[in-house]
Amino acid sequence: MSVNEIIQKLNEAYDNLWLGAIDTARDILSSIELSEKTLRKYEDVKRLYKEIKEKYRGNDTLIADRFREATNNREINMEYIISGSIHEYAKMLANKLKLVIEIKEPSIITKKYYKYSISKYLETKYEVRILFNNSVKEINEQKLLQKLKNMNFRVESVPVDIESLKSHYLYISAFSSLYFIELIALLPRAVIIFSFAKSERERIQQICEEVIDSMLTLDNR
Amino acid sequence: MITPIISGSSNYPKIDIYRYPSVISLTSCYTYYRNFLNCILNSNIIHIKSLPIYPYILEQYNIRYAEKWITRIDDNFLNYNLATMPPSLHIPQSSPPKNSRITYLTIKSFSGDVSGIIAESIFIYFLHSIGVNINLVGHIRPLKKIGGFLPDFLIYDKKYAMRNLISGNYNLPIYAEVKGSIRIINKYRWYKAITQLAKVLRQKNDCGIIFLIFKYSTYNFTYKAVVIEVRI
Repeated sequence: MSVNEIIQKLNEAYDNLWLGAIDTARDILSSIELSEKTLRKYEDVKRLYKEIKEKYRGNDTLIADRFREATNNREINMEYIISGSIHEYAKMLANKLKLVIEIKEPSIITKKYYKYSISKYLETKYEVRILFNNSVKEINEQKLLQKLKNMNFRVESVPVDIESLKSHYLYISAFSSLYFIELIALLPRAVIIFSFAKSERERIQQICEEVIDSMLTLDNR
Repeated sequence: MITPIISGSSNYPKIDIYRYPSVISLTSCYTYYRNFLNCILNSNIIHIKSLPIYPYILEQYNIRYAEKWITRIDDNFLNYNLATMPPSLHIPQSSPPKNSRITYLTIKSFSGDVSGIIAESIFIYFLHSIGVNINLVGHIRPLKKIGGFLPDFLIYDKKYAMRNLISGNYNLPIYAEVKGSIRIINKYRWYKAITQLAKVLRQKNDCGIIFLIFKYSTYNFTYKAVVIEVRI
């Protein structure tokens, strides 16, 4: 597994943790596997660093220089160090996540192009966290605005003047006489806060999916 | 076409981002260490861009990338950027015990942790704004608790979106150390950043960057940021 694949896995695990999908996050973290050679080299690095740190305690410059020299001499390249460190961290985090399994996690609803969880603040207020798949490359703002307008919302959106963020980012607040919605998306994540004048517990999932579906830029949906 | 009600970025706070024109070499950086910020700020730093900060976006970067669990960095950023002090706290009429050297807490101070998170969030914001794929950016700070030999961020800039920040060829990943402060960053923090990068830069094409975000003084409005390239 290359280092950038490991980084992607780590970010993916963080995204799932944010969603509340603890089991999925743990599975992703556990899937970070390294070769015996890498693990051996990484153990070498840790031992070496500890020795150097003790020997030159208080002198950060010398610690840095000696560490660099020592790993160079032993032909330990940065790939071993980075992947070994992340691997160790991922294992540690996966173990910690076993401890939180007792906490009732929000139920995750999985759709074809995204999954989401609904957390209830109040009977009339919900936070919905959405995690899009890799196939969702950009947000269809116009379609979403139209959808909300059709649902009788007055919509305010804050466009971004930064070119590279335009298709990844969205901030909208929409309100009608009965609802208030705040939507913030930065792919692959999005958050929607729903506030209702009266309890809409039965309809929250349906409203939510209608809104999310209209954000997708997919022709074959 | 639906026209949004609010438009434009003119009303948003902006951060000017500069690039230090020279490459800092690890072999000579300790000269800079003595008086580094003067060296940097008195040189002809190159203006890269004025980055409009949309607070809601900043909060999303904070949630996804910053090390510490502090929310509403959008709100905090506005306060820290404008140095908005909270009102003085109410104090009791009676004075503290005599000779106790205790004084009442009358004014709250700015938090270093919040400054650090603002810096990390703005760094990711900046990378994204220049076209870096931020899914290939890893914040590896938690790993410091294990080994202590890696800097804040690893950046797999496969699209070479950072080519204008860096001179010549560079290997991936790019290592980044981020430092933020509400006032001028002190020399020890600069020294820390340098020594952190010194552990990982090995070859000629290995590249590290230090991203400093600071103010000339606490009550200056708006932050300023400088990108500094570091090589072996």
